[in-house]
Amino acid sequence: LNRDERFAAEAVPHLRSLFGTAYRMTRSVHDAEDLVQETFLRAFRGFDRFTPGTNIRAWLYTILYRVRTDTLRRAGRSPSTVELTDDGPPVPPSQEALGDSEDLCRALEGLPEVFRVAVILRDVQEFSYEEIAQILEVPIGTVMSRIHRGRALLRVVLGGPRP
Amino acid sequence: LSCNPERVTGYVDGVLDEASAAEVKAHVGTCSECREQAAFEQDLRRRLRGLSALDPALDFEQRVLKRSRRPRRPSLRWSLPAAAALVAVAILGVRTSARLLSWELVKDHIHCFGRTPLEAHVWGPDPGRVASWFGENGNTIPVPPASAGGLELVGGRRCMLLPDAVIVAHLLYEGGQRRTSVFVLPSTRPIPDSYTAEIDSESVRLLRVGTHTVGIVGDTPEDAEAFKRAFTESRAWNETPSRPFLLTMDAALASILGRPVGL
Repeated sequence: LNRDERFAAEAVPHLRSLFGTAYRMTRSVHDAEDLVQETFLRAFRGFDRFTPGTNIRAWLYTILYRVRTDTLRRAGRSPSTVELTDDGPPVPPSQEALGDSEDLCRALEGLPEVFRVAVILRDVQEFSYEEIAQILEVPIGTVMSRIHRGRALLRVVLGGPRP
Repeated sequence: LSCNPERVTGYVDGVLDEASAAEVKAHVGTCSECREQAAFEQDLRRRLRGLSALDPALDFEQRVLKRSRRPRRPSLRWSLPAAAALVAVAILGVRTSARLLSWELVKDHIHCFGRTPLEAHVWGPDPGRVASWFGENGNTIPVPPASAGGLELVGGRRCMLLPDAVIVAHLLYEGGQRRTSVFVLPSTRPIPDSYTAEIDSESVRLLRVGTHTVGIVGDTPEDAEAFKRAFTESRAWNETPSRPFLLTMDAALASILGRPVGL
């Protein structure tokens, strides 16, 4: 297999899940498409630096997250880090406790991006803490803290008892 | 052991070491609050895993692959068929909407100015020299303004725009922290006479000046407007007829390789 074929064989199967994550990250089909486009562009250019047989999925997500933070930095923003205060979360709690998956999606979308991304990587994409630490380029303790905060916010939004 | 909700999360995820896991497990057995948290998180994990996948548009995979393979520094062996294919596409004259064109210009603007050192093929500030460099390399353009809105010409480069693989002159202007790109586009691009867009917090102006089509990407609307005025009012740009864009294999290859080639 030449480089092109190897890239197609290894990276393309992850395109759908990358798009799903990009969409949940950006909350826009247009931005998600841009994000995945740029991710694949960088991945293709950097494919020589990828060691065959190692974790390509985590590698692609690392690039995806880097592209996302670069984009936000250029726009003068950073993934929002709204604190959980006694006033409650940034979205109004849903009326139906533990509603269906539509409620779940809406609750997830309402999370500040840093926590949302951590929860998506762990609970939707089922990455290990080590992989998430690599993708987000933060220590494992921070991974645990972000996942915890994300889930705690979801618990409030979904109408469970306040943590 | 007092409540430590973060460790309960680690416990649910099975990432604590044996001793800590045993501690948390014992605590959860006696503390209803932490038990509820653990139960919620376990249930949440189950529900999130079950979320339906979000599918991109049907042609998305093709589009992504097509763009990903747009090479920056490929081998000559790879470039030849690629360039030939791109030239063939160019001849077919794929039409692009103004919005898509603007989007591409913004990407190129961000890409070029995001690189350190700045990637120019010819350096300013002499507009005459920059124009003649473009002429020698296949993109004949009139002498551009040396400055506008406080930004000065720092250089130029040739870049390829998809989908029709046309090679355009890209003029780079800087002033303080602000940057503006001016692209001289082939007049065959179907755009309205005057077009304005804001994309990724950049301001885009597409306009016709004389026989030229100019694309401006500025960091602020004021910069974009200043350049729009400078080009609209330029005698050289209004009076010098543009030479038809020659998209040759040489030019396509030179653009891909970032240097002129002799075949």
